[in-house]
Amino acid sequence: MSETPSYSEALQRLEAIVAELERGGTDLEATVKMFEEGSELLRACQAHLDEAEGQLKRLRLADAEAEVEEPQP
Amino acid sequence: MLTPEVLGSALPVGRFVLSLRRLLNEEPTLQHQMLRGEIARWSRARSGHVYLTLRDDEGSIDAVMWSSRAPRMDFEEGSEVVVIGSVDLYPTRGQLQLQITSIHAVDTIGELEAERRKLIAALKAEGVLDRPRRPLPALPRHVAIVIGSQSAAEADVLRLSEDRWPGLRRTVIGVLVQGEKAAEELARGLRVAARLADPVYAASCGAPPVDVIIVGRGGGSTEDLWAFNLERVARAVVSMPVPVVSAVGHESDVLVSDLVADVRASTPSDAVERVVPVRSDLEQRHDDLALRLESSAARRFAETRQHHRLLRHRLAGAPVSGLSRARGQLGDLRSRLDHIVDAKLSETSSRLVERGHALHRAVDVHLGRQRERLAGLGAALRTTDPRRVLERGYGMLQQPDGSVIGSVGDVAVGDALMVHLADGTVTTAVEDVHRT
Repeated sequence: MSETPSYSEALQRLEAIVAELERGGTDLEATVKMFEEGSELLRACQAHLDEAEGQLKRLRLADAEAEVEEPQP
Repeated sequence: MLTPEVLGSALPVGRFVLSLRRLLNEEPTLQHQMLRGEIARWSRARSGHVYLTLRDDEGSIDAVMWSSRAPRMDFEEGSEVVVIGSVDLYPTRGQLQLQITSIHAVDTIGELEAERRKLIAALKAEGVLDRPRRPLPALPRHVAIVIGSQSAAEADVLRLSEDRWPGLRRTVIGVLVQGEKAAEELARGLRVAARLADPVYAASCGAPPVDVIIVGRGGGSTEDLWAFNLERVARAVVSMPVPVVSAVGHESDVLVSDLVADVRASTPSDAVERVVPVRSDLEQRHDDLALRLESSAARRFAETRQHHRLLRHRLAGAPVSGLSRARGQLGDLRSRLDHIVDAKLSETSSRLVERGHALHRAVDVHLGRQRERLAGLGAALRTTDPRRVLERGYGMLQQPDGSVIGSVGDVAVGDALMVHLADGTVTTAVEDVHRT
């Protein structure tokens, strides 16, 4: 995979691969390749989910402004 | 036929109207009265007089402002006003009307509403309302929430988003959402959110940039929600670099922030439902896809196995003379199988998700079995190899033309024979023939 695909792109591609494998008729080489890619996409999707995890910050406006170092108007 | 008495006692209508007018003019509660209502109609005649209708939920009255008393600016229909006026009767038409001497806009929603409409008209003229809306990210990585500081709405948003996506990355910017400073604070809060959405800034903080913004508050009266109708907030929403969800708790009124946002939610909780997916749903979808990926790949492998079995059958049925070719094919097959499946799968197995491991084990077992079968087949082939038989001391007889002699009926006394041994050939002749 050249660039990291977005979550929706990865999911879409994965669904296409599964659909193709389910349709049948792929040879061993292609099956192995698709299975590999599919597994990689699954891993990427899962990684995307993990990426959304993070800190909860609750800031009052003035503190939020101070934190982003934006001068007060 | 009316008698002259009757005619004499009948009041001329004009006189009646005039006495009615006098009555009205002398009634103190109908003169210089201060009245409150909404302008239902406003028209300025060429003469400069203004004819209008005042109304509220219970009634309405036509009114006039003489040009000398009329304000220079027209009032919009729907504006709430307080007027001072006296009731009069216009004798020639017997029409009751209010003569207004002064008019004042009520310094609340009536006037604000006019401003709101003006803002909407301006935004429409600029094309802001028709600009394409941005879709929400399928998966938010960092949600900024600009909402009433310490409000019930804030608590709802935090609880609901945590339920849907435990540990989701969120930054809440608590602001004033009503009162004079609300619009300014909302705009400043949005500016902070925009800063957090800047990839360069986010990278410097080591957190993913904000990719969606929720701005809103819980329900309240029209006046309470008014900040969301102000230009300052509307402009801030429009300037955001990422999609904005307007989430003000109300059902009926459409606020300007709703009109300019990328998505309008009916409440802050509704906004969370639109922005934050349920993580367990997505994981279930992944599990489902993983299962389908494995089982469909396994089916394809099984098909290949079936194909190899077919080849093996054909190989077993190959004539002895084609043995070495068949053996070559077998070796080819085996090395292809080893190369493609074994090498490739074991090389990639370490990178596959955990779910794939079961499949790999299945494939390995299958390969082991396949290899055993192939080894068995090879052994079987070897035992049928005539040369192996010769090594055990047997000889194979052939006619000089090469045909194999399998029966005494194939030869006669005096025939020349070739005896193939493991390491060479002997030529001999038939001396006698005995059938056993």
